[in-house]
Amino acid sequence: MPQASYAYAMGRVSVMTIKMLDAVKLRRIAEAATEREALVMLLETGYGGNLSGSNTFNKEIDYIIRDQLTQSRADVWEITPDPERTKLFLLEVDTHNIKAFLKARLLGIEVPDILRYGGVFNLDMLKECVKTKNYEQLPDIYKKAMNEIEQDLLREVDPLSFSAKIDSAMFRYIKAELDRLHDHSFVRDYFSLMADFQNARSLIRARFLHWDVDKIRPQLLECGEIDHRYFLEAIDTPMEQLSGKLNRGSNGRLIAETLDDYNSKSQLPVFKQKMETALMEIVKKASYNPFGLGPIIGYLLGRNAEAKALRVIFNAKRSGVEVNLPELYQ
Amino acid sequence: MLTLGTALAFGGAAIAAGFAGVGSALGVAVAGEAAAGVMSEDPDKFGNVLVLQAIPGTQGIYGLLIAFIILLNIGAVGGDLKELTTFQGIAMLLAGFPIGLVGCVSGYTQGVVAACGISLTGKRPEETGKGITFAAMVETYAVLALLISFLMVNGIKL
Repeated sequence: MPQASYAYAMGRVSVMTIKMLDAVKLRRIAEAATEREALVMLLETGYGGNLSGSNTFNKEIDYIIRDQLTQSRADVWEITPDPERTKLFLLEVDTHNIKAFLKARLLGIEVPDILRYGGVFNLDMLKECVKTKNYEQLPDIYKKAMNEIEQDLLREVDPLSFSAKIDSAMFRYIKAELDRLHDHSFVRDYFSLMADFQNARSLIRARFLHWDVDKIRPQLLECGEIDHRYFLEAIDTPMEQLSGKLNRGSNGRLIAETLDDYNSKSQLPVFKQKMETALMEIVKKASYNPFGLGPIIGYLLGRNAEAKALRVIFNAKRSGVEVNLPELYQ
Repeated sequence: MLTLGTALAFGGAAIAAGFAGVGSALGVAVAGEAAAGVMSEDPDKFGNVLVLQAIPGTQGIYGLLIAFIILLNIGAVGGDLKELTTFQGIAMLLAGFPIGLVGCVSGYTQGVVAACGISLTGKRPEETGKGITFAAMVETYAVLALLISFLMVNGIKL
Protein backbone atom coordinates (compact mmCIF):
# COMPACT_ATOMS: atom_id res chain seq x y z
CA MET A 1 0.00 0.00 0.00
CA PRO A 2 1.68 3.29 -1.00
CA GLN A 3 2.44 5.65 1.86
CA ALA A 4 3.08 9.34 1.39
CA SER A 5 6.34 9.53 3.31
CA TYR A 6 9.85 10.46 2.25
CA ALA A 7 11.26 7.27 3.80
CA TYR A 8 8.93 5.08 1.72
CA ALA A 9 9.59 7.12 -1.41
CA MET A 10 13.35 6.95 -0.79
CA GLY A 11 13.25 3.16 -0.47
CA ARG A 12 11.16 2.73 -3.57
CA VAL A 13 13.10 5.19 -5.69
CA SER A 14 16.39 3.54 -4.72
CA VAL A 15 15.25 0.32 -6.39
CA MET A 16 13.48 2.02 -9.32
CA THR A 17 16.65 3.98 -10.10
CA ILE A 18 18.76 0.84 -10.59
CA LYS A 19 16.27 -0.35 -13.20
CA MET A 20 16.99 2.75 -15.27
CA LEU A 21 19.34 2.54 -18.22
CA ASP A 22 22.67 4.10 -17.35
CA ALA A 23 25.17 5.63 -19.77
CA VAL A 24 27.04 2.32 -20.20
CA LYS A 25 23.90 0.41 -21.23
CA LEU A 26 22.76 3.21 -23.52
CA ARG A 27 26.16 3.37 -25.23
CA ARG A 28 26.05 -0.38 -25.78
CA ILE A 29 22.61 -0.06 -27.39
CA ALA A 30 23.88 2.86 -29.46
CA GLU A 31 26.72 0.66 -30.76
CA ALA A 32 24.28 -1.91 -32.17
CA ALA A 33 24.72 -2.47 -35.90
CA THR A 34 21.05 -2.01 -36.82
CA GLU A 35 17.87 -0.54 -35.41
CA ARG A 36 16.49 -4.05 -34.99
CA GLU A 37 19.54 -5.18 -33.02
CA ALA A 38 19.31 -2.06 -30.84
CA LEU A 39 15.66 -2.81 -30.10
CA VAL A 40 16.43 -6.41 -29.12
CA MET A 41 19.27 -5.22 -26.86
CA LEU A 42 16.99 -2.63 -25.26
CA LEU A 43 14.22 -5.11 -24.53
CA GLU A 44 16.75 -7.56 -23.08
CA THR A 45 17.53 -5.00 -20.35
CA GLY A 46 13.93 -5.28 -19.15
CA TYR A 47 12.86 -1.94 -20.60
CA GLY A 48 9.25 -2.18 -21.72
CA GLY A 49 8.24 -4.87 -19.24
CA ASN A 50 7.71 -8.35 -20.65
CA LEU A 51 8.16 -7.46 -24.32
CA SER A 52 10.59 -9.55 -26.30
CA GLY A 53 12.58 -8.53 -29.33
CA SER A 54 11.24 -11.32 -31.54
CA ASN A 55 7.62 -10.13 -31.55
CA THR A 56 8.12 -6.38 -31.36
CA PHE A 57 8.24 -4.19 -34.45
CA ASN A 58 10.83 -1.46 -34.88
CA LYS A 59 8.24 1.31 -35.09
CA GLU A 60 6.77 0.27 -31.73
CA ILE A 61 9.74 1.78 -29.90
CA ASP A 62 8.01 5.17 -29.70
CA TYR A 63 4.98 3.59 -28.03
CA ILE A 64 7.19 1.65 -25.65
CA ILE A 65 9.05 4.81 -24.62
CA ARG A 66 5.79 6.72 -24.19
CA ASP A 67 4.35 3.91 -22.10
CA GLN A 68 7.42 3.87 -19.87
CA LEU A 69 7.23 7.63 -19.35
CA THR A 70 3.53 7.39 -18.46
CA GLN A 71 4.37 4.66 -15.95
CA SER A 72 7.17 6.70 -14.38
CA ARG A 73 4.83 9.73 -13.98
CA ALA A 74 2.21 7.48 -12.39
CA ASP A 75 4.84 6.10 -9.99
CA VAL A 76 5.94 9.61 -9.04
CA TRP A 77 2.35 10.73 -8.39
CA GLU A 78 1.89 7.63 -6.25
CA ILE A 79 4.93 8.02 -4.03
CA THR A 80 5.46 11.75 -3.68
CA PRO A 81 4.76 13.16 -0.22
CA ASP A 82 4.78 16.67 -1.73
CA PRO A 83 2.42 16.78 -4.72
CA GLU A 84 2.31 20.60 -4.61
CA ARG A 85 5.95 20.89 -5.66
CA THR A 86 6.06 17.70 -7.69
CA LYS A 87 3.27 18.88 -9.99
CA LEU A 88 5.46 21.79 -11.12
CA PHE A 89 7.76 19.29 -12.83
CA LEU A 90 4.81 17.67 -14.58
CA LEU A 91 3.25 20.85 -15.94
CA GLU A 92 5.24 20.51 -19.15
CA VAL A 93 3.09 17.45 -19.92
CA ASP A 94 -0.04 19.63 -19.78
CA THR A 95 1.65 22.40 -21.74
CA HIS A 96 2.44 19.92 -24.49
CA ASN A 97 -1.15 18.59 -24.47
CA ILE A 98 -2.75 22.06 -24.58
CA LYS A 99 -0.60 22.93 -27.61
CA ALA A 100 -1.51 19.62 -29.28
CA PHE A 101 -5.26 20.14 -28.70
CA LEU A 102 -5.09 23.72 -29.94
CA LYS A 103 -3.13 22.85 -33.08
CA ALA A 104 -5.48 19.94 -33.83
CA ARG A 105 -8.51 22.22 -33.48
CA LEU A 106 -6.98 24.83 -35.77
CA LEU A 107 -6.15 22.19 -38.36
CA GLY A 108 -9.63 20.68 -38.01
CA ILE A 109 -8.29 17.22 -37.24
CA GLU A 110 -8.60 14.77 -34.38
CA VAL A 111 -5.81 15.05 -31.85
CA PRO A 112 -2.92 13.08 -33.27
CA ASP A 113 -1.37 10.25 -31.35
CA ILE A 114 1.10 12.44 -29.52
CA LEU A 115 -0.71 13.14 -26.26
CA ARG A 116 1.18 12.64 -23.03
CA TYR A 117 -0.36 11.13 -19.91
CA GLY A 118 0.29 11.73 -16.23
CA GLY A 119 0.15 15.52 -16.19
CA VAL A 120 -1.44 17.79 -13.61
CA PHE A 121 -4.75 18.52 -15.36
CA ASN A 122 -7.29 15.94 -16.44
CA LEU A 123 -6.79 15.19 -20.13
CA ASP A 124 -10.52 15.05 -20.95
CA MET A 125 -11.03 18.36 -19.19
CA LEU A 126 -8.23 19.95 -21.22
CA LYS A 127 -9.70 18.58 -24.44
CA GLU A 128 -13.13 19.94 -23.55
CA CYS A 129 -11.70 23.34 -22.58
CA VAL A 130 -9.90 23.76 -25.91
CA LYS A 131 -12.83 22.39 -27.89
CA THR A 132 -15.40 24.72 -26.29
CA LYS A 133 -12.94 27.63 -25.84
CA ASN A 134 -14.08 27.78 -22.25
CA TYR A 135 -11.15 27.74 -19.83
CA GLU A 136 -13.04 28.32 -16.57
CA GLN A 137 -11.81 25.03 -15.11
CA LEU A 138 -8.15 25.95 -15.48
CA PRO A 139 -6.16 27.95 -12.89
CA ASP A 140 -6.50 31.74 -13.33
CA ILE A 141 -3.08 32.21 -14.92
CA TYR A 142 -3.76 29.58 -17.58
CA LYS A 143 -7.33 30.82 -18.05
CA LYS A 144 -6.13 34.37 -18.74
CA ALA A 145 -3.42 33.21 -21.13
CA MET A 146 -5.77 30.91 -23.06
CA ASN A 147 -8.45 33.60 -23.36
CA GLU A 148 -5.80 35.97 -24.76
CA ILE A 149 -4.73 33.31 -27.23
CA GLU A 150 -8.34 32.81 -28.35
CA GLN A 151 -8.62 36.56 -28.93
CA ASP A 152 -5.35 36.55 -30.93
CA LEU A 153 -6.55 33.60 -33.00
CA LEU A 154 -9.54 35.64 -34.18
CA ARG A 155 -7.05 38.00 -35.84
CA GLU A 156 -4.30 35.67 -37.01
CA VAL A 157 -2.96 32.18 -36.42
CA ASP A 158 0.62 32.43 -35.23
CA PRO A 159 1.80 29.08 -33.77
CA LEU A 160 5.00 30.64 -32.44
CA SER A 161 3.03 33.28 -30.56
CA PHE A 162 0.51 30.98 -28.89
CA SER A 163 3.20 28.45 -28.10
CA ALA A 164 5.21 31.17 -26.36
CA LYS A 165 2.14 32.36 -24.45
CA ILE A 166 1.39 28.86 -23.15
CA ASP A 167 5.04 28.41 -22.07
CA SER A 168 4.94 31.81 -20.45
CA ALA A 169 1.74 30.91 -18.56
CA MET A 170 3.39 27.75 -17.30
CA PHE A 171 6.36 29.65 -15.85
CA ARG A 172 4.08 32.34 -14.38
CA TYR A 173 2.04 29.60 -12.72
CA ILE A 174 5.20 27.92 -11.40
CA LYS A 175 6.43 31.20 -9.95
CA ALA A 176 3.05 31.92 -8.36
CA GLU A 177 2.97 28.45 -6.81
CA LEU A 178 6.53 28.71 -5.50
CA ASP A 179 5.72 32.10 -3.96
CA ARG A 180 2.54 30.71 -2.40
CA LEU A 181 4.51 27.81 -0.90
CA HIS A 182 7.31 30.20 0.23
CA ASP A 183 9.65 27.78 -1.50
CA HIS A 184 13.38 28.41 -1.45
CA SER A 185 14.45 24.88 -2.22
CA PHE A 186 16.15 23.38 -5.24
CA VAL A 187 12.78 23.53 -7.03
CA ARG A 188 13.03 27.32 -7.30
CA ASP A 189 16.71 27.10 -8.31
CA TYR A 190 15.78 24.63 -11.01
CA PHE A 191 13.02 26.68 -12.62
CA SER A 192 14.88 29.96 -12.13
CA LEU A 193 17.90 28.58 -14.01
CA MET A 194 15.67 27.14 -16.71
CA ALA A 195 13.88 30.47 -17.22
CA ASP A 196 17.13 32.44 -17.38
CA PHE A 197 18.62 30.02 -19.90
CA GLN A 198 15.48 30.01 -22.06
CA ASN A 199 15.40 33.82 -21.97
CA ALA A 200 19.05 34.02 -23.01
CA ARG A 201 18.32 31.61 -25.85
CA SER A 202 15.30 33.66 -26.92
CA LEU A 203 17.47 36.78 -26.91
CA ILE A 204 20.07 35.19 -29.20
CA ARG A 205 17.34 33.94 -31.53
CA ALA A 206 15.69 37.39 -31.55
CA ARG A 207 18.98 39.09 -32.42
CA PHE A 208 19.58 36.58 -35.18
CA LEU A 209 16.09 37.17 -36.64
CA HIS A 210 16.36 40.97 -36.12
CA TRP A 211 13.29 41.10 -33.88
CA ASP A 212 12.41 44.31 -32.07
CA VAL A 213 11.78 44.64 -28.33
CA ASP A 214 7.99 44.26 -28.71
CA LYS A 215 8.38 40.91 -30.40
CA ILE A 216 10.81 39.42 -27.90
CA ARG A 217 8.97 40.68 -24.80
CA PRO A 218 6.23 37.98 -24.86
CA GLN A 219 8.88 35.30 -25.37
CA LEU A 220 10.57 36.04 -22.05
CA LEU A 221 9.69 33.68 -19.22
CA GLU A 222 9.09 34.63 -15.59
CA CYS A 223 10.66 32.89 -12.60
CA GLY A 224 14.25 33.70 -13.58
CA GLU A 225 16.68 35.77 -11.53
CA ILE A 226 17.78 38.08 -14.35
CA ASP A 227 15.32 40.93 -14.79
CA HIS A 228 13.58 41.05 -18.18
CA ARG A 229 14.77 44.65 -18.53
CA TYR A 230 18.36 43.45 -19.07
CA PHE A 231 17.31 41.04 -21.81
CA LEU A 232 15.35 43.80 -23.57
CA GLU A 233 18.26 46.24 -23.26
CA ALA A 234 20.64 43.57 -24.53
CA ILE A 235 18.92 43.32 -27.90
CA ASP A 236 21.12 46.13 -29.21
CA THR A 237 24.19 45.36 -27.11
CA PRO A 238 27.28 44.23 -29.05
CA MET A 239 27.65 40.46 -28.90
CA GLU A 240 30.99 40.54 -27.04
CA GLN A 241 29.42 42.66 -24.26
CA LEU A 242 26.36 40.44 -23.79
CA SER A 243 27.91 38.12 -21.20
CA GLY A 244 28.90 41.08 -19.03
CA LYS A 245 25.42 42.59 -19.27
CA LEU A 246 23.61 39.38 -18.30
CA ASN A 247 26.03 38.26 -15.58
CA ARG A 248 23.54 38.95 -12.78
CA GLY A 249 22.16 36.88 -9.90
CA SER A 250 23.22 33.37 -8.97
CA ASN A 251 22.69 32.06 -12.52
CA GLY A 252 24.50 34.98 -14.15
CA ARG A 253 27.97 33.43 -14.22
CA LEU A 254 26.75 30.31 -15.97
CA ILE A 255 24.69 32.30 -18.48
CA ALA A 256 27.71 34.53 -19.17
CA GLU A 257 29.97 31.49 -19.69
CA THR A 258 27.44 30.00 -22.08
CA LEU A 259 27.19 33.26 -24.01
CA ASP A 260 30.98 33.38 -24.31
CA ASP A 261 30.94 29.77 -25.48
CA TYR A 262 28.29 30.64 -28.05
CA ASN A 263 30.37 33.59 -29.20
CA SER A 264 33.31 31.36 -29.91
CA LYS A 265 31.37 28.47 -31.48
CA SER A 266 28.30 30.24 -32.92
CA GLN A 267 26.17 27.16 -32.22
CA LEU A 268 22.77 27.66 -30.57
CA PRO A 269 22.58 24.04 -29.22
CA VAL A 270 25.32 25.02 -26.76
CA PHE A 271 22.56 26.70 -24.70
CA LYS A 272 20.49 23.55 -24.49
CA GLN A 273 23.49 21.37 -23.63
CA LYS A 274 24.72 23.70 -20.88
CA MET A 275 21.21 24.14 -19.52
CA GLU A 276 20.54 20.41 -19.36
CA THR A 277 23.86 19.77 -17.63
CA ALA A 278 23.28 22.57 -15.09
CA LEU A 279 19.68 21.51 -14.39
CA MET A 280 20.73 17.91 -13.90
CA GLU A 281 23.46 19.07 -11.50
CA ILE A 282 20.86 20.88 -9.36
CA VAL A 283 18.70 17.77 -9.17
CA LYS A 284 21.65 15.45 -8.52
CA LYS A 285 22.76 17.67 -5.64
CA ALA A 286 19.21 17.70 -4.22
CA SER A 287 19.03 13.92 -4.47
CA TYR A 288 21.77 13.61 -1.82
CA ASN A 289 19.13 14.61 0.73
CA PRO A 290 17.25 11.33 1.05
CA PHE A 291 14.42 12.85 3.11
CA GLY A 292 13.53 15.43 0.47
CA LEU A 293 11.95 15.71 -2.93
CA GLY A 294 15.31 15.49 -4.73
CA PRO A 295 15.47 11.70 -5.28
CA ILE A 296 11.86 11.62 -6.54
CA ILE A 297 12.37 14.45 -9.00
CA GLY A 298 15.75 12.98 -9.93
CA TYR A 299 14.01 9.73 -10.85
CA LEU A 300 11.36 11.55 -12.89
CA LEU A 301 13.89 13.64 -14.81
CA GLY A 302 16.19 10.63 -15.12
CA ARG A 303 13.43 8.68 -16.88
CA ASN A 304 12.81 11.68 -19.15
CA ALA A 305 16.52 11.87 -19.99
CA GLU A 306 16.61 8.11 -20.57
CA ALA A 307 13.63 8.38 -22.98
CA LYS A 308 15.27 11.27 -24.78
CA ALA A 309 18.51 9.30 -25.15
CA LEU A 310 16.61 6.31 -26.56
CA ARG A 311 14.82 8.53 -29.07
CA VAL A 312 18.16 10.01 -30.11
CA ILE A 313 19.65 6.52 -30.51
CA PHE A 314 16.77 5.09 -32.55
CA ASN A 315 16.41 8.18 -34.74
CA ALA A 316 20.15 8.07 -35.39
CA LYS A 317 19.90 4.37 -36.30
CA ARG A 318 17.06 5.10 -38.73
CA SER A 319 18.84 7.97 -40.42
CA GLY A 320 22.31 6.46 -40.19
CA VAL A 321 23.92 9.36 -38.33
CA GLU A 322 26.25 9.27 -35.36
CA VAL A 323 24.66 9.05 -31.89
CA ASN A 324 25.32 11.94 -29.51
CA LEU A 325 23.83 11.06 -26.11
CA PRO A 326 22.15 13.86 -24.12
CA GLU A 327 22.78 14.61 -20.41
CA LEU A 328 21.83 11.62 -18.24
CA TYR A 329 20.87 11.26 -14.56
CA GLN A 330 23.27 8.37 -13.94
CA MET B 1 3.37 1.80 52.29
CA LEU B 2 4.13 3.71 49.10
CA THR B 3 6.48 6.56 49.94
CA LEU B 4 7.34 9.57 47.79
CA GLY B 5 10.79 8.04 47.25
CA THR B 6 9.29 4.80 45.96
CA ALA B 7 6.95 6.74 43.66
CA LEU B 8 9.92 8.68 42.26
CA ALA B 9 11.74 5.40 41.62
CA PHE B 10 8.72 4.22 39.65
CA GLY B 11 9.07 7.48 37.69
CA GLY B 12 12.68 6.61 36.90
CA ALA B 13 11.62 3.21 35.56
CA ALA B 14 8.85 4.82 33.51
CA ILE B 15 11.25 7.36 31.97
CA ALA B 16 13.80 4.68 31.09
CA ALA B 17 11.33 2.32 29.44
CA GLY B 18 8.91 4.94 28.11
CA PHE B 19 11.22 7.45 26.41
CA ALA B 20 13.62 4.85 25.03
CA GLY B 21 10.63 2.87 23.78
CA VAL B 22 9.20 5.94 22.01
CA GLY B 23 12.56 6.56 20.31
CA SER B 24 12.78 2.95 19.17
CA ALA B 25 9.20 2.93 17.93
CA LEU B 26 9.81 6.05 15.84
CA GLY B 27 13.12 4.73 14.53
CA VAL B 28 11.73 1.33 13.59
CA ALA B 29 8.78 3.06 11.92
CA VAL B 30 10.97 5.30 9.73
CA ALA B 31 13.18 2.37 8.77
CA GLY B 32 10.07 0.28 8.18
CA GLU B 33 8.66 2.83 5.73
CA ALA B 34 11.89 2.77 3.75
CA ALA B 35 11.91 -1.04 3.92
CA ALA B 36 8.35 -1.16 2.59
CA GLY B 37 9.43 1.08 -0.29
CA VAL B 38 12.30 -1.24 -1.22
CA MET B 39 10.17 -4.35 -0.77
CA SER B 40 7.40 -3.07 -3.02
CA GLU B 41 9.91 -2.95 -5.87
CA ASP B 42 12.15 -5.88 -4.96
CA PRO B 43 10.76 -8.43 -2.45
CA ASP B 44 13.97 -10.49 -2.63
CA LYS B 45 15.72 -7.94 -0.40
CA PHE B 46 13.56 -8.81 2.63
CA GLY B 47 16.39 -10.39 4.63
CA ASN B 48 18.75 -7.45 4.19
CA VAL B 49 16.23 -4.72 4.97
CA LEU B 50 14.80 -6.58 7.98
CA VAL B 51 18.18 -6.49 9.74
CA LEU B 52 18.45 -2.75 9.17
CA GLN B 53 14.89 -2.12 10.28
CA ALA B 54 15.44 -4.02 13.54
CA ILE B 55 18.56 -2.08 14.60
CA PRO B 56 16.73 0.98 16.09
CA GLY B 57 14.72 -1.39 18.28
CA THR B 58 17.64 -1.94 20.69
CA GLN B 59 17.15 1.35 22.56
CA GLY B 60 13.74 0.16 23.71
CA ILE B 61 15.35 -3.03 25.03
CA TYR B 62 18.02 -1.03 26.91
CA GLY B 63 15.31 1.16 28.46
CA LEU B 64 13.33 -1.91 29.44
CA LEU B 65 16.46 -3.44 31.01
CA ILE B 66 17.12 -0.38 33.21
CA ALA B 67 13.43 -0.12 34.13
CA PHE B 68 13.45 -3.78 35.11
CA ILE B 69 16.56 -3.38 37.29
CA ILE B 70 15.02 -0.36 39.03
CA LEU B 71 11.79 -2.28 39.68
CA LEU B 72 13.78 -5.31 40.84
CA ASN B 73 15.89 -3.20 43.23
CA ILE B 74 12.86 -1.53 44.83
CA GLY B 75 11.13 -4.89 45.19
CA ALA B 76 8.27 -4.17 42.79
CA VAL B 77 8.85 -7.40 40.87
CA GLY B 78 8.82 -9.77 43.86
CA GLY B 79 5.84 -8.11 45.50
CA ASP B 80 7.95 -6.90 48.46
CA LEU B 81 7.94 -3.15 47.78
CA LYS B 82 10.64 -1.24 49.68
CA GLU B 83 10.00 2.14 51.32
CA LEU B 84 12.58 4.46 49.72
CA THR B 85 13.58 7.81 51.14
CA THR B 86 12.90 10.85 48.97
CA PHE B 87 16.61 11.19 48.09
CA GLN B 88 16.85 7.51 47.16
CA GLY B 89 13.79 8.02 44.97
CA ILE B 90 15.27 11.10 43.28
CA ALA B 91 18.48 9.15 42.62
CA MET B 92 16.47 6.34 41.01
CA LEU B 93 14.53 8.88 38.96
CA LEU B 94 17.76 10.49 37.71
CA ALA B 95 19.22 7.07 36.93
CA GLY B 96 16.43 6.50 34.43
CA PHE B 97 17.18 9.70 32.55
CA PRO B 98 20.39 8.82 30.60
CA ILE B 99 18.94 5.81 28.82
CA GLY B 100 15.50 7.46 28.59
CA LEU B 101 16.65 10.62 26.85
CA VAL B 102 19.56 9.24 24.83
CA GLY B 103 17.48 6.22 23.90
CA CYS B 104 14.67 8.44 22.64
CA VAL B 105 16.88 10.63 20.47
CA SER B 106 19.27 7.92 19.30
CA GLY B 107 16.42 5.51 18.57
CA TYR B 108 14.82 7.95 16.15
CA THR B 109 18.06 9.14 14.56
CA GLN B 110 19.28 5.58 14.21
CA GLY B 111 16.04 4.86 12.37
CA VAL B 112 16.81 7.69 9.96
CA VAL B 113 20.32 6.32 9.34
CA ALA B 114 18.91 2.79 8.98
CA ALA B 115 16.37 4.11 6.43
CA CYS B 116 19.26 5.56 4.43
CA GLY B 117 21.04 2.21 4.77
CA ILE B 118 17.91 0.48 3.44
CA SER B 119 17.96 2.87 0.48
CA LEU B 120 21.62 1.97 -0.03
CA THR B 121 20.67 -1.72 0.07
CA GLY B 122 17.95 -1.06 -2.50
CA LYS B 123 20.48 0.45 -4.85
CA ARG B 124 23.50 -1.72 -4.04
CA PRO B 125 22.62 -4.90 -2.13
CA GLU B 126 26.32 -5.80 -1.81
CA GLU B 127 26.80 -2.70 0.42
CA THR B 128 24.29 -3.76 3.11
CA GLY B 129 27.15 -4.31 5.57
CA LYS B 130 28.20 -0.68 5.28
CA GLY B 131 24.61 0.44 5.85
CA ILE B 132 24.53 -1.65 9.04
CA THR B 133 27.86 -0.14 10.15
CA PHE B 134 26.55 3.42 9.69
CA ALA B 135 23.47 2.63 11.75
CA ALA B 136 25.54 0.85 14.41
CA MET B 137 27.64 4.00 14.94
CA VAL B 138 24.58 5.70 16.48
CA GLU B 139 24.19 2.74 18.82
CA THR B 140 27.45 3.69 20.61
CA TYR B 141 25.76 6.54 22.45
CA ALA B 142 22.79 4.45 23.51
CA VAL B 143 25.22 1.86 24.91
CA LEU B 144 27.11 4.59 26.82
CA ALA B 145 23.85 5.89 28.27
CA LEU B 146 22.85 2.35 29.21
CA LEU B 147 26.15 1.91 31.03
CA ILE B 148 25.71 5.16 32.99
CA SER B 149 22.11 4.34 33.93
CA PHE B 150 23.20 0.86 35.01
CA LEU B 151 26.05 2.22 37.19
CA MET B 152 23.74 4.82 38.73
CA VAL B 153 21.03 2.32 39.58
CA ASN B 154 23.52 -0.11 41.10
CA GLY B 155 25.25 2.70 43.00
CA ILE B 156 22.14 3.54 45.02
CA LYS B 157 22.23 1.81 48.41
CA LEU B 158 18.77 0.79 49.58
